Amino acid sequence: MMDELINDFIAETRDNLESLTSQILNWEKNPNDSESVACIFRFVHTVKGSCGFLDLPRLLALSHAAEDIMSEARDGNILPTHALVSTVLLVVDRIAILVDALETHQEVKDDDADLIANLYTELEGARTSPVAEPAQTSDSQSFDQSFAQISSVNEHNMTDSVEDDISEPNDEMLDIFNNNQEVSENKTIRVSLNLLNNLMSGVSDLVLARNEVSRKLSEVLDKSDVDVVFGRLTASVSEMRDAVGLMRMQNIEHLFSALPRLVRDISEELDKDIELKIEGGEVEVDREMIEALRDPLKHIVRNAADHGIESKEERIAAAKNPTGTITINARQLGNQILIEIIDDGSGINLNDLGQKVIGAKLKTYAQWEAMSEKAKLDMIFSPGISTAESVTAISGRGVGMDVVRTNIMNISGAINVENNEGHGLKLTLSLPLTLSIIAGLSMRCGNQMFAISRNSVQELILKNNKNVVIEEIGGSKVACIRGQRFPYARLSDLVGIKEKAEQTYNSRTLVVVKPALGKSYVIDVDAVIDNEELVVKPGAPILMASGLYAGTSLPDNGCPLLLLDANAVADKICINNLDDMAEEILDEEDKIHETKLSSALLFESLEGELKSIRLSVLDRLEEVETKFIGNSGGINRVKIKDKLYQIFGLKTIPEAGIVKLLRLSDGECWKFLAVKEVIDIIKLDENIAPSLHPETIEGVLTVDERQVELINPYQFFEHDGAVQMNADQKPLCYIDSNDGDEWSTKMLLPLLNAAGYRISTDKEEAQNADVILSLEGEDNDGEDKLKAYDTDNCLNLRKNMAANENNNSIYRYDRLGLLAAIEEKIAKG
Amino acid sequence: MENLFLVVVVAGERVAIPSHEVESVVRTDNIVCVPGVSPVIAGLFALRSRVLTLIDTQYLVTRESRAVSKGAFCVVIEIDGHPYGLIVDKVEDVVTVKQEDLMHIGYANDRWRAISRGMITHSDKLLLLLNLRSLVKIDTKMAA
Repeated sequence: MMDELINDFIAETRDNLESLTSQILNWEKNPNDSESVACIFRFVHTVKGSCGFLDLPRLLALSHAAEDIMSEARDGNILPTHALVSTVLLVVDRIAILVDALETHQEVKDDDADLIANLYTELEGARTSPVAEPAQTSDSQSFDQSFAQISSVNEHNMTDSVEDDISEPNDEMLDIFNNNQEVSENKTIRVSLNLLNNLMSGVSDLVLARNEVSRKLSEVLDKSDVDVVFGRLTASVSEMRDAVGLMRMQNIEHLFSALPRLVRDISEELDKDIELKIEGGEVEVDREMIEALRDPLKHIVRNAADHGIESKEERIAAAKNPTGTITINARQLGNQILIEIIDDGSGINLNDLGQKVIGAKLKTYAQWEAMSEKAKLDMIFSPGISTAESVTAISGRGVGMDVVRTNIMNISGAINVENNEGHGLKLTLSLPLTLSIIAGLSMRCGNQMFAISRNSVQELILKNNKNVVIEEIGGSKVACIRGQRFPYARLSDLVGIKEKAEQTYNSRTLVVVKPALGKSYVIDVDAVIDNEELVVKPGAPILMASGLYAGTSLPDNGCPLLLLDANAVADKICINNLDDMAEEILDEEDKIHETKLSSALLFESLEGELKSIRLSVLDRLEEVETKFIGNSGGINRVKIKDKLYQIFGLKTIPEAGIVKLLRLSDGECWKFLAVKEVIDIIKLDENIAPSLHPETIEGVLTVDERQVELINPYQFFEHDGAVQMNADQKPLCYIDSNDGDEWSTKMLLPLLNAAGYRISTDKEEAQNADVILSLEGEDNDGEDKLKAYDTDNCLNLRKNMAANENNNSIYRYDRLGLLAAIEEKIAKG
Repeated sequence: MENLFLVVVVAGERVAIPSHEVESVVRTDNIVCVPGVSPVIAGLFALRSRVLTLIDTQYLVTRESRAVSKGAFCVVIEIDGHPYGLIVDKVEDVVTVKQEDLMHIGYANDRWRAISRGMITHSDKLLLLLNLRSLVKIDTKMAA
């Protein structure tokens, strides 16, 4: 029991310590920020309370002293002077050390009395006004008390005292509980990571089992009643999977919490003014990723503060703001987390770096001269190279960036340097979201399946497309797609799969990949199979050593899939050795020009006409068996993953076979457009001829002398925004029906449902309803009942077509009028 | 003190694996090949929701890779949080060995020495004791 309490105390204190430092620094910056002061006070108060309860005298004395300071601060009696804040930070450090010691059962020999005495000295120095008499006495009282407690500590061995049982509950105990209630707005509980991992794999097992059952079920013919239950199972399994996934995520702020203190310490030691700006703390990442990044990030920030940012004098001489700035910026980009560390210091002087590299005998002078700027910069990641002028206590020992890079690479990340000599340095860490779910594209190569993150895929194009030319020069191949050239390689050659003869040439697909860092390239695969949501699992070290893979994944079919690492494949194709700057610049210009032009997909409709649609609304191409397509309610629909979607462009449903459907998305819902064949992607230029029906045909293009209609996707989405809404977003209609009234359930309910409303006949919900429909009828007394509600959102329905004296009623078979009236009521509400 | 060992056959030799390191023994099903990596990796295999990296154990001794057939015996272990499956020729038995029957390595050849920790005697027969960690170590020589 006692052990458990102690463990809880340790864990809780540690968690709080993390954010505490930034609160203290915040207090220093904004002395009037009562929120920060209150927060620090709460922390030391809680620690004090718990220590009294758990009988930890040393921690009690420290936290008691700190509490005295903070209570003065809370009352506005002191200002956070630099010295005071430093001492408070030291006390916090000591608390952290003692808490650690509590766990490891070691003894900490340092004397707390000096620290506490310092604290009170600084307290006096920080006073804003002459001290009131009573406050002083209370101060000295607690001061003596603290000393008394400290002397008692010396006789105790700390770990012994921990195991002593308490005899009677302390007054402080009540305090702790009161306090906890005050703080816990967002209630959480502590769960062991092991338990969480077990839960994770349990859910994954469940998903696989579900898929197995689903496969078995599809073999059974009559299963309509099972289907409903199975659907429910599917829904709850996927909900659970999502929830468990979120449980592992942590705010990236946890990663940054140690940095303000680090920067403060360094700027103090080196007498520099450095401001740290952190942006994007709300990005969620896997908690293991946070642990793995902690040290590398500290190192980078330390480097930036130490030898990136110049001294005040140098900065003034260089006409810069005497205060240096380090900006840390985190954001999520698809399946990547990008963390930028930008300083406005001096950057890297390549000549100096060259001398060091040559001095360390890593390169000869001639080699160095021949290297590109980027390759030169990358030398900062070599072992034994430091960018520092001299070795300081903080950094510059030459063990550094190489370790940082290795650590980043160990978690399948990459690090990129941008140097702006004299103005600063920008490091970009691009990291995968391990264990999180990514959108992957699976493809086949020989007998082997691979997947690649869809975010890095720029385009898929058939190799026999007439816009594709593969050129060969000097043994290396280049793919030329619509005039743009990319490095080209067959995936089978890259990974070393022996292919049986030349596969049918027609079916091969080119995948244009744009890695997070570096240039785009093209890989040639047998076929692209599917888009899938993949759970990325880190591969075993021996697997990752090849450098080709980003991990493995277990898709729903239960067959392991290898994930290609887009950056590593780029290395294999040796793109990063291509250092023709001129070419890159040209490319950039090309791209800028091209992004201005939008693209459209050219396809053949089922009627055999050539048509096109803007690429921006297209999600993907689905091939669906006709048995999943049905006509109901006058609309052709396809069933995909237990949901029905509308199909356009399909007049009759073929008896059997496969229908190709383009999935269109307006960002919220999906529609499908049936096509016979996808032909090509074309660039849209300004020469679009107008059409007579712009609502369905945006315009007409000319492709190879043929006229092609550009379909306006708007028409597919305009009809049913309401029906697609989530149930809880739909407006609620309350029908006040008389008992046994059949009209409301037989006539009104279906009408309203089709129009996208939620319907309730439950009196309880009447006050939450957006609209109340009151039916004309006879109540028990035989009297006309037509005015039970006089609220604004009530609508009365009458049986007779002719209007009566009550203006606020509508004939119940006036469908359009009724819907319009409901709409009007809701719009007003 | 007595210890439990799982006795398996690798490249024709009887070897022992401490049973507390063994999670289970399964027969492989569909194996997914992994091209472009060290030949010691025999492929990937899904054991429920986990993806095992299969280790062609005999390759470490013979330096000859061998296609792993469906239904091969696979000893499931976990090292540093990564699950592995050791492909072995045969699984014999679980035996109890006394502490005093553990010996340091004698004159095993280099390849065996690299992956074993010593010998043990059981029922008057010698068994090599496998060093599991060495099986999944990244061999820089091999990667080059």
